[in-house]
Amino acid sequence: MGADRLAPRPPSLPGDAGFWTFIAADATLFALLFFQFSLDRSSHVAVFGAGQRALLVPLGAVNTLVLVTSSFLLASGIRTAHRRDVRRATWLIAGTVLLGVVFAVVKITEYWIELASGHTLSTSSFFMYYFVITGIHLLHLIVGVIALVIIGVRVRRGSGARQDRLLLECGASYWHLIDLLWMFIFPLLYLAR
Amino acid sequence: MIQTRRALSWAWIALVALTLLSLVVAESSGIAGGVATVIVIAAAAVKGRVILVWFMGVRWFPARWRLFFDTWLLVNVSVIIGFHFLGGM
Repeated sequence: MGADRLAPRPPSLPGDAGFWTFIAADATLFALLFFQFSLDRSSHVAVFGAGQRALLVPLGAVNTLVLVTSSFLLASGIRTAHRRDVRRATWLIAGTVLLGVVFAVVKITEYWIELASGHTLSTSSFFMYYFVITGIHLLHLIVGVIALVIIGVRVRRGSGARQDRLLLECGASYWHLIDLLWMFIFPLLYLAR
Repeated sequence: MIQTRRALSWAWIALVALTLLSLVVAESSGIAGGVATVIVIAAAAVKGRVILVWFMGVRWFPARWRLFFDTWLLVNVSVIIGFHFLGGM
């Protein structure tokens, strides 16, 4: 314990350092979308307010809870994988994948309801932003689900190779980014009045 | 990047609690729009910080990466709230 205090772990990035450049670029791209949305909203408050009132807040809230729970499961999965408990890690990754699918199903249901109500990309600038921002986010999530399925299969094989651990950490970092972005998308589109 | 089970559980509880708080504030008719917006965006920033620290392990990142994510959070919150005030809430 004392030795740990004397020799703290040197700072390092989980996964591949190059992958973090991609994560930083992606986070910056979404930040620019948030700024553009907020700027346009400041010029068209009534239009954005009307659009926001047409959104289904309960579905957005459910998806927020689904996503934070999926991140919790994946962080637990990483912890378990590092302890070489392959079986438990695989289940936790599978749980994350399942919640990712739930998020996608809820989001697609929400799109279906909005489209059936006559709200499309061309309805207003609010809905243009709504479909573009949440659509790009959903694409990220689908890529994340596919990546986690592949990673889960490799973890289950349990080779414990350095490349597999790297892949798992990259996949987890990407998934947490998806969660982090949604933490801003939900209040920005659904809640901020 | 590896956290204790207890730390991860507390992080999840904090995220759920802040989400519910944001919902209550946003849906409450007794809270002015401007105040509600500041609270829900500030809650988003805190949730973002929880994800970065407890799930992504940002505290063990090299200094320039910690600075990037801290700046990202701060600029997001400042610009979003700033533009909301600019347009009237």
